[in-house]
Amino acid sequence: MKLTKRFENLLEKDFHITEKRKLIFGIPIAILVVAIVLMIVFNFTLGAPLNLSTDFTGGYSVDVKLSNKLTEENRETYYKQIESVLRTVTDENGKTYNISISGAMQSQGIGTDDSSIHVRYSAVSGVSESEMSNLVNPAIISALESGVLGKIPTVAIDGKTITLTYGEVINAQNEGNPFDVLRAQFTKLIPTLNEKYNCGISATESDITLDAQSGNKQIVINCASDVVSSAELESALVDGMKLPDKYYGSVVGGELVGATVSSELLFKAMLAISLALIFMLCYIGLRFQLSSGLACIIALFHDIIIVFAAMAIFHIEINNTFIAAIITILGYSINNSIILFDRVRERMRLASSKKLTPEAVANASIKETLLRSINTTITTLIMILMVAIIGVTDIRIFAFPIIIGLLAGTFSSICIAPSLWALFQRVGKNRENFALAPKNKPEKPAKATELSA
Amino acid sequence: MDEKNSLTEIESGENKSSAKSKTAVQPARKAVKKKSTIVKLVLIGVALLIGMIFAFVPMQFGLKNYNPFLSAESISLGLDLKGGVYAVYRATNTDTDDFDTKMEGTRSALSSMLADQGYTEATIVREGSDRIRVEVPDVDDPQKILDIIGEPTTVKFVLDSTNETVITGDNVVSAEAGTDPSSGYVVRLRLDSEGRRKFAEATANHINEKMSIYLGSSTTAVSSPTINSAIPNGEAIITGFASYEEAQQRAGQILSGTFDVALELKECKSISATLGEDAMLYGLIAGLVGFVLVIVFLCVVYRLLGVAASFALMIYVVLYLFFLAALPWVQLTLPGIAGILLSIGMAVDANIIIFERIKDEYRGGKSIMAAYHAGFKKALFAILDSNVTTVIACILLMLLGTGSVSGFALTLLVGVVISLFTALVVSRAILKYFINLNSYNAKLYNLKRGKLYAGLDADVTDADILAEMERERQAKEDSKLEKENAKLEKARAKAERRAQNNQDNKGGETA
Repeated sequence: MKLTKRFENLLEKDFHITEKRKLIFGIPIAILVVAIVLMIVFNFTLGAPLNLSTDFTGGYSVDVKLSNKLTEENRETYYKQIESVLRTVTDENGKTYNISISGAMQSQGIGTDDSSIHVRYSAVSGVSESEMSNLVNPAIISALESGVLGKIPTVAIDGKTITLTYGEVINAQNEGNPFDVLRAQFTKLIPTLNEKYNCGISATESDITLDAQSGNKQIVINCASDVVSSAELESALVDGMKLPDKYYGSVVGGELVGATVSSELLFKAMLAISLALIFMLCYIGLRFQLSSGLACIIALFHDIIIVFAAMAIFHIEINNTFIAAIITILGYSINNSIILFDRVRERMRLASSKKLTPEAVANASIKETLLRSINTTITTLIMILMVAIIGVTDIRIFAFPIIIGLLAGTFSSICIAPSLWALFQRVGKNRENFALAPKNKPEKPAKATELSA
Repeated sequence: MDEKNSLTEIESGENKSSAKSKTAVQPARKAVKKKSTIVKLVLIGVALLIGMIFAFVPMQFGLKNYNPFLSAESISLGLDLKGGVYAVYRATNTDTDDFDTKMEGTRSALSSMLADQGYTEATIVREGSDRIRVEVPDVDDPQKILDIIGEPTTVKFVLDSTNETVITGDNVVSAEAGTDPSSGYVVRLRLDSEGRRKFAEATANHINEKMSIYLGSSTTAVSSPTINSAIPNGEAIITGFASYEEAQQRAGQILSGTFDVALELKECKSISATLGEDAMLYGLIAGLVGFVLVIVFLCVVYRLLGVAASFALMIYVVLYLFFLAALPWVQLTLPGIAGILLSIGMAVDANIIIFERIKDEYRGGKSIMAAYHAGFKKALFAILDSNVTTVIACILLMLLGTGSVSGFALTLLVGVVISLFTALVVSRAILKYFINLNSYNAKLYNLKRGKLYAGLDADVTDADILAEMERERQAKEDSKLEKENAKLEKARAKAERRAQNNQDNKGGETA
């Protein structure tokens, strides 16, 4: 209750907000400067000044074809698996990449023979397009094949035995025995193994066995002589002993995907917003004053610039929902400023306002609308904060710019718009409406402004 | 109309009480007929309850299931919330010049085609160099995408006598399904200028001959109408469809056959929601919690005024959901839901503006009732002006924006209009009833007097106001009566004059 008392006392006093121009215009400029500096830094460290999602930049996609293994129940498990595999992908040169998935994964068909999971990801920063397609994308595909499909074995060589461990069970399935296929693959591999790596494997099937103790996930190969372990041998085994697509699915894709937000959509949205601004300016000019309209539009620009600055500073992903966020901010911000200028308009109709400075008129109007501005901001913030707190990641990405926009909108309608309006009143014919000294003489401050010093 | 009632009631009450008490200005507090006010409030409550039930509760009427406004069955949901169907098309003629530009053109043609059919939230993406991936939300059956985009097909009009092709798909600008009184379901084609010229020439020179229409590579004609007269306006009609759906499917196919790049369907399957089912659930929980908090805030800060606003807000939500379910081209995505939740916060704004005005007026010495009237009157223009600017922006974004932008602008526009209605009509009515019930206890409304007027009663001037209002009403009625009298007078004078004239004329004749 003390707080409300203090607030009421505050409302009893005269406000001097519009005179504090240095502070009012300094804050947004400072934020903008920070944003620009950080954008330059990000441009060199992270590869891009803004964190644009593949909705704008395009990217790559792979389909993890799981066929009928994919069900409603295990979908989420697969999603998590794919996500963790993509976090560390190592290419053939041993370089590790952290692949960032853009948006959410989608299952295409469920439980059918051709069900798959569609994954979109953005290009790794600092990696050229040809490197992406020759090096990184194949690495991603094989990482998913071993990590998610369990198709690729890990190789362990110990004296005369080679053990291949798979991520999946390899004995009989409903449509045949994958082990049979593996055995056939192995037969093809024997000459290479013998000639290149001196394994001395006889061409009998008894040399390759399925280890039941490992839960039918291991294959043990017995050689005649000790085998020298080498990276080449391992990769020959890995390549030759991949589990068959027929049972364990495959990973396809790794190709360029265009932007979902087309330049046409962006252009038309920009055109519509610019035209909307012009029409708004005309409407406010007609109903209020042209200077009020200009102040409103500049306040609006301020809000949008601050939102962009915040997205840059926190390097938050900008996706296709950002356009919707900007439209929302636009509607909210203009509302705020107009409520204020409605009070200004009312005040200007009074004869007594001729004896005041424009700053005094603006300050009085701010005071009258302050409670409303605060209360509306609170109710709106309650709703959007709930969404941000309870919602999923994607919705948080949408909520963040709106929260920033709300705060910026409140600030601009209380501080920037009225200050600008008061400034505009000191120019040209508008001066005549106020108690302002003629331009060439030094100004005699009116009573209301005297107190601010 | 009830204004009038309550006023007369107040007056008669006043007469009675003034006989008993000695004060010159009698508070009107005892005079209002509370029963009818309570009945009205209860009626509003019941209406709201019924609205809420229709909005949120699934029901069963006999064998039929009723889906509330807020359900996936009623509101069309976007790809992120419900998934849909995807199709991948591959270009067959990759070796043409400017292939990349042509693919881009095809992409935007596809997107505008989908938007025309109401799928504003569909996404169209290029995959690799020669494929286009189309994702259409809120469709369950992969087969349905064929109805929407279809397997692109070509069309040609051939003269039977000379076997000469008059127009092809290249001349088609648009194709739409329709009905024709004489030939049933048809596809209407609009032709470009070249096609129009050729078509006009051919139809003028070959009257009474047959012209066959072929679709795709088929050698049997869809229909072979006889040319009855020259057709100069370039409207070519294909007849002979069994149903509207078939005509619509064909229209889509013909249109996709006009794309710069020949496409073939490669794969087509259903696709899951990108955000999973809990995204929507969390959104709803967030909305509910936020809504309750907003109501609590309003009731604490503005007390009875806030209660009225809360009622209005609930009606706002029910109406909004109704329109979202009823309007066919609304497709809700997660940002859309967040936008709606936000708009609830903003719908409160109009109420807060009014309440702050009422507080100002009361602080300045008016009675509660007077402050209420003055508050609404003064806030009206501020609210209208601020909402008109938002409406301007929404309409422009709807008209000029594409896809999701125009969809979002529409949802916002609907919200603004409904919030205006609820604030200016619903809040106002409910508040009036509250004040009718109690116009003397300022604490109920959290209204405070300014320093100058600290001692003034809350309903100090009510009797004056009511008397003033009654006087105004009387004056209005009087002036109405006067006008009517004047009219009658005029008519009488006119009739008299006419009679006089007639007599004069007659007099002239006889003379």
